[in-house]
Amino acid sequence: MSGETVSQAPAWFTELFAHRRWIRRSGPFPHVYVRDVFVEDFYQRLADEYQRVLGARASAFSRVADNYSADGIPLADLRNGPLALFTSREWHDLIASVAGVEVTGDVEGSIHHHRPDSPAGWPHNDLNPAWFAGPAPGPGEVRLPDPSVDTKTGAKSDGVTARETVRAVAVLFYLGNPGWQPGDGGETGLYANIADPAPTLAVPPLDNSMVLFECTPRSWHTYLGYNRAPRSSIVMWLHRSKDDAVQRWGGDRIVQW
Amino acid sequence: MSSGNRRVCLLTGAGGLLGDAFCRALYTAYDIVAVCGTRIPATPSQHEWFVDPFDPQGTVPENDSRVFLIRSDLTAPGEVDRVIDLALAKFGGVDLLVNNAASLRLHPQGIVDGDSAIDDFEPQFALNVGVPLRLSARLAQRGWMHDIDGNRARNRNIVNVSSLSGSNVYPGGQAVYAASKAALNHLTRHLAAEFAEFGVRANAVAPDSFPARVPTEKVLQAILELDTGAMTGGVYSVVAN
Repeated sequence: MSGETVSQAPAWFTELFAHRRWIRRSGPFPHVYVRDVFVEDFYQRLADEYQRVLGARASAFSRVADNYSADGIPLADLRNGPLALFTSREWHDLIASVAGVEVTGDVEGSIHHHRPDSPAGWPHNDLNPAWFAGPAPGPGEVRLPDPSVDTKTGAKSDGVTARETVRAVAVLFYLGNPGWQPGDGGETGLYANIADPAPTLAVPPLDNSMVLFECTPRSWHTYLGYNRAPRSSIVMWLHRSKDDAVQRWGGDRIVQW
Repeated sequence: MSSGNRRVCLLTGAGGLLGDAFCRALYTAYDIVAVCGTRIPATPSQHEWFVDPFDPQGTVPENDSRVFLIRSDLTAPGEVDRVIDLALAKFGGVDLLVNNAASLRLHPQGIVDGDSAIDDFEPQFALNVGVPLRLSARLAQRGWMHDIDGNRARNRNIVNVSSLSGSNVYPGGQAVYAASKAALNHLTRHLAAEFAEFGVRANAVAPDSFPARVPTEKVLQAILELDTGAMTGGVYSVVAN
């Protein structure tokens, strides 16, 4: 699926959304911004489930990457509750359609949790490779990372096949940050140019809001840090085939881990 | 050029409380040139617009009325001329000029407490009085002066957003701000007298503090009544009932 309208999405899915007026912005690079993504009841279910996971499975949160201040738990481990929405084919198709990008059905993502006073990250573009096991998912399917293939390196177990893809669309959905006010920190910075010392736009981590964008050589963004309170989000990516990415951006623009 | 028969409004201070309310309430009724600084109005513009997530290639009716956003420090050299150049290039004319941008810097300890009141005088007068003067004069020179029939047919006019502080003495260190609004009030009367020659009206609204004492919507309504009316040369208070 890619690009086409998803007006045929099932009612159970469309009824989760609060409105049909998302905002498409041209700068500092093209992205879509949404306030009040879900109806309040469903958002509250997501936030409650997040708090439950944070309390009951704290040990499952591990450092996302060296020198990066977020702890995370994979969405692949959260498929038995409302958070499973983010790994549904319906959500995948909705995001792909809004982004207008040809994608594969491969989905990677985590809940990210930053402790108070977490340091800022560094501007990066997310145009990274990702390996998934097995054949490309068919229509209606999604493929998530599994232990047989290292998503970042492609290292795999004996007898397992792995496909190389490239991150195509990034999604950041903010939840579990009640009462956030300007000055509280923890925004996502978007940059017009990686040489800019300050972000062109700072996206606040307002509950039930979201930013999504195509991963391109210039989709510079980072976590801005200096959060007074814990800051939480769901971070996820859809993927395109490597051939498509190479044709679109050139192989040398793909940022290796 | 203007979209159909919609009136073209050049609005300053478009990202502020009143400016944002103006844009949100009227962007489908007016073609708005929205001049702003760091804040922008929450309306579709050439920089951001709506998409229907369940029909992303489809049309969204609200996008037909995007405001034309111009970021500008109107007190900087050449900025008034640049804004008018862009407005005329986009829409071909201006029917309503709303001088809403203002600097409000208070001096609670009075004008003799150090140099802050003295230091704030020129920048505050530059934005609160100088910019309305420059925009009005340039719009007249760039079109209104030689279009008497068009001015009258389209009921062209200026609305300056003043304040009750311009005629009353309030506590809180408003001396410089109040003086600038008093000057704006009298500039409004002179604009009305001079621009009557070519059929452009000028009025001011002087609200009590909003939204604390007067709903922002009431100030907005007062501006609309001046735009649609025939009055000129007036400074109209907007107070709570």
